This record gives sequence, C-alpha cells and structure tokens, in this order.
Amino acid sequence: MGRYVLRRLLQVIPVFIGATFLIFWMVYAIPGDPIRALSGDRPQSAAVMRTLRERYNLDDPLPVQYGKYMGNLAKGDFGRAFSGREVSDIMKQRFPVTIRLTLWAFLFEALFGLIAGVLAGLRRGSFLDNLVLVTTTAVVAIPSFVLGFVAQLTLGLKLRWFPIAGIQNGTKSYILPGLILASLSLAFVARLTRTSLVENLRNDYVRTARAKGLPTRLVIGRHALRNSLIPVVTFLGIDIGSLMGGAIITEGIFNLPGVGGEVFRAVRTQEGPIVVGIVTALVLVFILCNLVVDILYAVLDPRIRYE
Amino acid sequence: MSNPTDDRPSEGLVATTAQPRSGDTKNLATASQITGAAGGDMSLREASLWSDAWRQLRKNPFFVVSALLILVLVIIAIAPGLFTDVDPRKGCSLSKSRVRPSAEHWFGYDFQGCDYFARVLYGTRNSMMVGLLTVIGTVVLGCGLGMIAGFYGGWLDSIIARLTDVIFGIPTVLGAIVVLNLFRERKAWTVALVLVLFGWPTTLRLMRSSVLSIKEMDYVAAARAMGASNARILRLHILPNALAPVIVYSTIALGGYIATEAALSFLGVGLQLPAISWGLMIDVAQPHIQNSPHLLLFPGAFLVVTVLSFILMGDALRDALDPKLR
Repeated sequence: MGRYVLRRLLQVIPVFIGATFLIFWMVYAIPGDPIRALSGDRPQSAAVMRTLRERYNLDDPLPVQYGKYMGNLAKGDFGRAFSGREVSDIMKQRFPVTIRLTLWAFLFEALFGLIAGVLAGLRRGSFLDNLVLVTTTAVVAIPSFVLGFVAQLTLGLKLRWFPIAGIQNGTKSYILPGLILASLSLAFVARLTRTSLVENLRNDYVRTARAKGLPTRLVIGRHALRNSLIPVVTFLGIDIGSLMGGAIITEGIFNLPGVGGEVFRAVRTQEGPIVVGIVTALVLVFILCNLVVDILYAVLDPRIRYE
Repeated sequence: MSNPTDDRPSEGLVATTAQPRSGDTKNLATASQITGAAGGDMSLREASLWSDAWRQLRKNPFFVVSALLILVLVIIAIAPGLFTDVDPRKGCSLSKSRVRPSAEHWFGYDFQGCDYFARVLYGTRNSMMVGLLTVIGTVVLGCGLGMIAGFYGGWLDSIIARLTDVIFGIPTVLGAIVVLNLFRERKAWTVALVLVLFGWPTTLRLMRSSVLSIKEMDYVAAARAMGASNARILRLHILPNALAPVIVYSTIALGGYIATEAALSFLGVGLQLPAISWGLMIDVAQPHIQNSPHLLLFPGAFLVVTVLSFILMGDALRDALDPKLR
C-alpha cells in the first residue's frame, strides 16, 4: 500500500507541471502586449512600461517566466495582478462562493443521485426504474445553461420560490444554482449506481448471502450495496474537480461572484496573473481529487494495489 | 505495408466485412445463437458482430426515431433552404423586434426583427459541423495513438499516458475558454479544434484498453503465426474489433460536443456574430427571458432534440454492439 501511494504521488508531479505549464503558455501566448493594453488608448511612459515588464518578468523567455512563477508559488505567493492587487487576495474573496456552490452541488449529486440509483436498481424494470432512466436521459440531453434558464424562468420568475441571481439571500441563493450545476453529474451518479447495483445483485456472493438466510435488508445493505458503491465513490471524488471547473457556466447564468466569473473577465481583459493563479489553483484541486480517489480506490478494492 | 493510421476509414469498412474470416469464433457463436433463438433466417451467411447489430438496431424504436431525427437535422444542416424561403439575414426589420410566434411566422421574430424560424434552422449547420469535426478529430487522434499505445506498449505508451494525464488535469470548459481566447476569429473548425484538444484523451483510453485485451486473443496469435506484419494485424484484426466502444462513446459525445459549443458560444468565446448559432441566440435571448421566452425556447428546444438524438442513438448502439450489457 505504501509503495502504491508513493508511486501515485510521484506521478502527480509531472502532471501538475505539465498542466500548469500548458495553461501558462496559452495565457501568455496571446498576441498583444498586456502592459500596453492596461492604459487603453493613452500613451504610457517608457519608464513605467519597463518597470512593469520587469516586475512581471515579461521580458524573460517563457520557461524562465514559468520557473520564477512556480518558485514564488512554492512559497505560497500567487503574484500580483496588473492592477497591483495580490492575486491571492482576489482568490480569497472569490473562492468561498465557488466552494459553497460546489459543495451544494456535490450534496445534491450524492444524495439524490444515490437515492434514485438505488431505488431504480433494486426494482429493475419497474415504473420507478423507467422514470429514473427517462429523467436522467432528459437531464443529460439538456445543456446545463438551457436548464438553468428554464429553472430561472419557472421556479424563479413565475413561482418565485428561489432568487434568480446574486448571493444576497444567503443559503437560498445557492440552491437553484447548486441543483443546475449538479444536474448532469446527478444523472450520471444515478445511472452508475443503478448499473453497478444490478450487476452486483446478480453475483454469486449475493445468492450465498440470501441462501444462508440473511434478511434482505442486510443482503443489500451490507453485501450488495457496499460493493456497488465503489465505482460511484470514485466518480463522486473525481467530480468535485469537474464541478469547480464547470461552475463557470452556472456562475454566469446566476450571476454569482465566484472564481468562474473572475477567470472569465480576466481572460477577456488579458490579465494573465489572475487567470494563471486561479486556473493553477483549480488544476491543483482537480489533481488532488484524482489522487485522493485513486488512493481511496486502492483502500476499497485491494485488487488495485497489486497491478 | 502502409501506415495503419493513414487510410483508416476505407480500411475499416473493408475490415468490417472481412471480420468473420479473422476467426473471431466467439462473436460468430453468439451471433448465430442469437439469430437461431430469434428464429431469423439461417440462410444469412454473414453473421458478424456488425450485421447482427444492424439486425437488432432496426427493431429498436429508439434507434429508428433517433436515426430519423438525425437524418432530418443533417438535411436541415446541408440545405436549410428546403424548409424555409426566408433568408435569415435579410428582410429584418426592427419594427418587428421580438414579435411573438404566429401562424405565418412559427417562431416569431428575434431581437433584430429577423424571422426566427429561418435563423434557428440555419443555426443547425454550425452545431452539426462542430460536433462532426470534433468527433472526426478525436476518433482519428484517439484511435491512432490508442492503437500505438496499446499495441506497442513500452516507453511510447508511458509518454502518451503522461500526455493524457496532463490534458485530463485541466478542466475542459476552463481550458477551452483560455485556448479559444487566443483566436481573434473563431469559426466552427476553431471551436472543433479546441474541443479535440481536450477530448481526444478519452477516446484514446477507450481504444487503448480495447487493444490491450484484443491483442491477447487467439486470432491475433494465429495471424502472427501466419506471418502477418504488425501493421496488417492492427488494420485487419485489431482495429475492426476494437472500434465498437469508440463508436458508442463518440456517438454520445457528438451530442455533448454540440452542447459544449452552444455553451461556449453563449459565454462569448465560441462562434462570433454574425455567425448563426443556437448558443449565440440563447445568449441574446437571456436578458429578454421574461418578456420573450420564445427567443430562448426555440433554439433551446432544437439544441435539446439534437443532443438527445445522439445520446439515444449511442445507447441503442451500445445495446446492439455489446451483448454483455443486455
């Protein structure tokens, strides 16, 4: 187990460097001078431009820029935006909103996805099973931003159950965006749970458990369900990262002041340090999620460790 | 022997019909059992996985409906003029801005006072183009590299695996926004290119794992014993047998790519005006959602039906191609 964890940890390093360098390169490969763009149409003094270019290492070759950036990052310094504000300061302000949104989405996804999947899987071919199948297919087919607008229109404007934008209403403001963000993954979780449960219920060990006279509650709860949940848990773990990345669209629809909106604005206005900072943080979350899931997987399913 | 990645499409078709000869006894057995059980005519000599799948697909109502819908959408995409006489860019009049649907103008008018029915129909082409181009790109790249990684293994496999890990480490929407912003002018192929960049690793992993299991099959060993070269084995024996999961995934993913294009265009980093795209229409409709919901609902409905058709078709294909799941 120790060796497996160590090997997996070592694999993370090249992936992190590769992914962040790719982003770094793409952000700074944008044609045009971000420093000149700062002042719009007005001319800038050469001295100011030189100082700024020096401060952001813009005259260095790209790999050197990247190396300096990573060196600072290792000390916990995400650098400064062109406006002079600390990028970590911006992130401190924006990340709580995104994290709250992600957590709500994750909660809905896990809770409703699992319930729907288990109910459908236990009664295969029943009305409920078909209902879950039809609903999940529909949810997968409706792009989240269309679903978001329809929800805004019906649940928000017509029925007035939920606020349609902003975060002024506390928890209530996160419910609708959370549901929309969760919808796609929720459908996947429900389907995955159903398929996995159906497959496991057919297995010999379930028949053995039944044959030795265990009550159905225990056969399902202690034997079938535990094994069926392994792929679901892995999916849920990996999905935390995707939810945070996908929040950008949901934040746009519901006008939530999270990192998504900030990244989007920064991409459009060529504010490299902000984009690189936030995307690096998201990539880190994404990779760590995958790492934790892989280790968790090895704990849950011992066969993995010996490959 | 030519490079296996060069002439895949035509070879794939040839190889498909040649498949029973490759000695895949397992598929032959299941296929003949199924035809026998269904009481189908036994005179059919060619009972390959594909002909068997086709026979099953024809009976699947979901497949028939989704295939018809896709056919109609493809015709609309190729020749939208067949369905409407109105030019979506001409005859716009601001006096008709956001007029509601009527008997003469089924979808009403958009913000600029253009006929919305024509605009929604003409928007089909861009969505289909992006979806199709992206799938072609991911399949060519994913299958090519997947076959190399799975078949040859070794350091090539390791390099390709690390490369996919890196791409997987970047959330797709976020990465796509950053890359698309590099382009001043974005057309359907630009969006497709970026979606391929973030999409090919999934196809590759599917292909790689199929190839890994297929290269251990007896018929591959038999082919090698008869002196077939690696390229020939890859082309005639491994590719046709490993393609099924990729086809299923790509069909479903095609719908997903269309949805992603719409989302990116909606965010403002996909297609640009004056291009006609459902995502752009939804973007324009957003501020008027309360007074003119039809501006949102029509392109939204077309988008949903398109995506749904590909998902249903992919599901039907999976049922037909993978007997284990039945």
